[in-house]
Amino acid sequence: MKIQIMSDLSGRLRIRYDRFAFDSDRDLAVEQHFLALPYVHSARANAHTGSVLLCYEGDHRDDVLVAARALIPRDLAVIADTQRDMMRSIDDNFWDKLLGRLFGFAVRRLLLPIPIRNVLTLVRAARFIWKGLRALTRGELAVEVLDAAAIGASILQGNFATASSVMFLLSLSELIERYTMRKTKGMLSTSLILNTEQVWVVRGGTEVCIPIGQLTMDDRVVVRAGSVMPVDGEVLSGSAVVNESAMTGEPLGVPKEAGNSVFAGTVVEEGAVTIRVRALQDESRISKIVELISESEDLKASVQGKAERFADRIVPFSFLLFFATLAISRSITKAVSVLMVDYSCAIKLATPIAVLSAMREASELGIVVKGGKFLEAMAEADTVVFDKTGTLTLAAPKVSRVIPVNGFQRDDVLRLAACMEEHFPHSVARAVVEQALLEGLRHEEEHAEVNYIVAHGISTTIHGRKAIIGSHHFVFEDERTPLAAALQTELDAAIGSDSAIYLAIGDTLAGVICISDPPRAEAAEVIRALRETGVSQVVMLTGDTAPAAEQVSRQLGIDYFQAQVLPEDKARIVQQFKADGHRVIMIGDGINDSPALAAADVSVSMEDASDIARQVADITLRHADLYDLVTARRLAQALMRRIQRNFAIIVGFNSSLLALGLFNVIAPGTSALLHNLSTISISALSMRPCLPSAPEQEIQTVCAQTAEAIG
Amino acid sequence: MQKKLLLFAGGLLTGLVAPTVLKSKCARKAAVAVTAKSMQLRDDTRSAVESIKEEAQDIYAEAKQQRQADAK
Repeated sequence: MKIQIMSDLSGRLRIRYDRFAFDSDRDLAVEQHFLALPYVHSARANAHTGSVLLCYEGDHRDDVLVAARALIPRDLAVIADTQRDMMRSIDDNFWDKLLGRLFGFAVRRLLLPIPIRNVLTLVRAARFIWKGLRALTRGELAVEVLDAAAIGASILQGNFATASSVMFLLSLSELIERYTMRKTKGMLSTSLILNTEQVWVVRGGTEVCIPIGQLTMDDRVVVRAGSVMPVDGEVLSGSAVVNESAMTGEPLGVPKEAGNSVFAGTVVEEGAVTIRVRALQDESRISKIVELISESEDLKASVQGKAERFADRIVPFSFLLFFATLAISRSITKAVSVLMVDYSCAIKLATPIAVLSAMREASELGIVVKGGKFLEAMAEADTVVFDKTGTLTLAAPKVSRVIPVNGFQRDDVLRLAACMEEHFPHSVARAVVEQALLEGLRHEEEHAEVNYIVAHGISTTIHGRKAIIGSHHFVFEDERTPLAAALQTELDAAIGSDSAIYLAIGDTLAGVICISDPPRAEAAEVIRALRETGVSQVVMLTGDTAPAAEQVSRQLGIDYFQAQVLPEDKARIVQQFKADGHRVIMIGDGINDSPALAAADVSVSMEDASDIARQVADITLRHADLYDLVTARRLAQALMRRIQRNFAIIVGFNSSLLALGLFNVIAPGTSALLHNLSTISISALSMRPCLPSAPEQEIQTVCAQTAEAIG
Repeated sequence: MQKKLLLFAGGLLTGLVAPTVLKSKCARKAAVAVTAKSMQLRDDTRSAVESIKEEAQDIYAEAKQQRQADAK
């Protein structure tokens, strides 16, 4: 089809087909068509103008043009996408209403004879006045009362034109407010759907990890032990024990095999299954979550709640000012203009928009935040508590040594340990299993019956004998396996600063498996950066042994650490910090961190954490990068600064509008117009990213470094 | 007084005649034509607005590239 080149930059090309080249429902198909080309990395189609914006890499301008000319958009099959449809309908709805109101206003003003116009004005005014009266009877001096007073006062004066202008402005600003909120919430929910959870899908014979939003019906999803069923489905292969207590309240796991049905939200305790997707995740569930997040008082940032309450409290003052102006200047128009400049609608609009936009920005960066309150806590915290294993250290510890004792064979110790640890979704267990696999030690014949699993150990029965594996505390103190003091010292020397898990068979110590757990590469940098953002205390709590903890702590510059900490102790320590007046961020990954995570002011979990930790945590870092913690902190602090700034601007600007109107420097209509414009601008500007983009950040760091070098 | 009586009579007449006129075929066709025109007006306005938005984006992109080129 013939194209017109609208904008031609290197790497960025906008072409335009005929205006009627394709309909709104084909724009996704057009974009996908271009994205299929290997050198095109982004495509945006606009059905209203028939234009497509393409970003490509390298020298492929001519190839892109050839592809564009070859395409007849109307011939493409429509690709459905409910999220896009939803966003598009929000936009279309807005434009229709906006044009409708503008048009209606023009027709009324220009065409209708005055008597009819006045009658219509009265009719519409009645609605506003009714709303104002209702608010008054509820005892609240709210914005509706302000509006009703402004309109009523104008009509009483016989000034129907002012009344209808006021109503027009109000209806426009209400329309724009609703549109902005719906758009922001829509963007947040799209972001959540696309970015939250990842699942393993079988595509072309191999397993691929994709976000849940990209699942389609009949896809084959692999769900392993420790994971939550992402969707409703039917088991195709494999077998698992699934805990359905989220649905049925039944605490015992239910075995599932080929042919059984499984439900979204249930947890796989053991085994692994491949399921066929029968029902996709409900978009309405996500929208409900977004509604909940934005409406729930519990989750709103307290500063937002404070701002809204402040805005409500200011309304009576607007009234006082109205009467004062009336008394002093005897001009109803001026008094009315005072009523039109209200702080509350600006504050009530700009603050939630800023918060929701920050949450969306975080989601795009791979940081899922469950509520504005947590961003606020993130910004104000002064203490960070880290879990060690899996959080500060790599999620992939390795077995460094296996020490057999009491006549057992080294390989047997490792093989038995792997056999038992298979069931445990812990990073240490995975290390043991991997090492056994690496050495080719297989254990099909010896299946361990799992008796019970607690935070730090597993008890099983192998070949009729009781076998336990776990931490020092579990094996020696809980299970009371005998340990000679001499052996203890020998082992301690051999283990050194590694972590150790002990294997005991039939009440006799069989061996020790040493796990070396190096800290993440970025951990030291993360802690340094956190201090830069104002964290005064960095703490590490771990169930691991003191030597291992001390080594990590020294390496990373941690202020205070405690080793051999049990889960309930972790929670107690966090409470103690809070009682001392600190605000605490807790970051952890294991099942045993949940009580502490719940106790902290804001809890963070990494993506490779267990599902339970992620469910409890207020913030989830989806990329396995500890640096995201710093990003989240900076984002939160930028958001808080933005809210304070907005507040100052709104109060300052509107107050000056009031003053200027009072002293006749500007007409009442102008001040109302400027008030609305400023409200819209501040809200729109609050949707900008809180953090500078990556290239800008690089420039900033370079400038900072140069400045340091010079000065 | 005369004028008021005439206006009243005129209104009465309109009230009686209007339903038949409004139900007639040409009134219907007129209604359809007006609706079609207003939908077209809506689409045209939307197109115009989107065009302006796109121009603004293009100008911004060109300005950014210009700045980067100048910086070098």
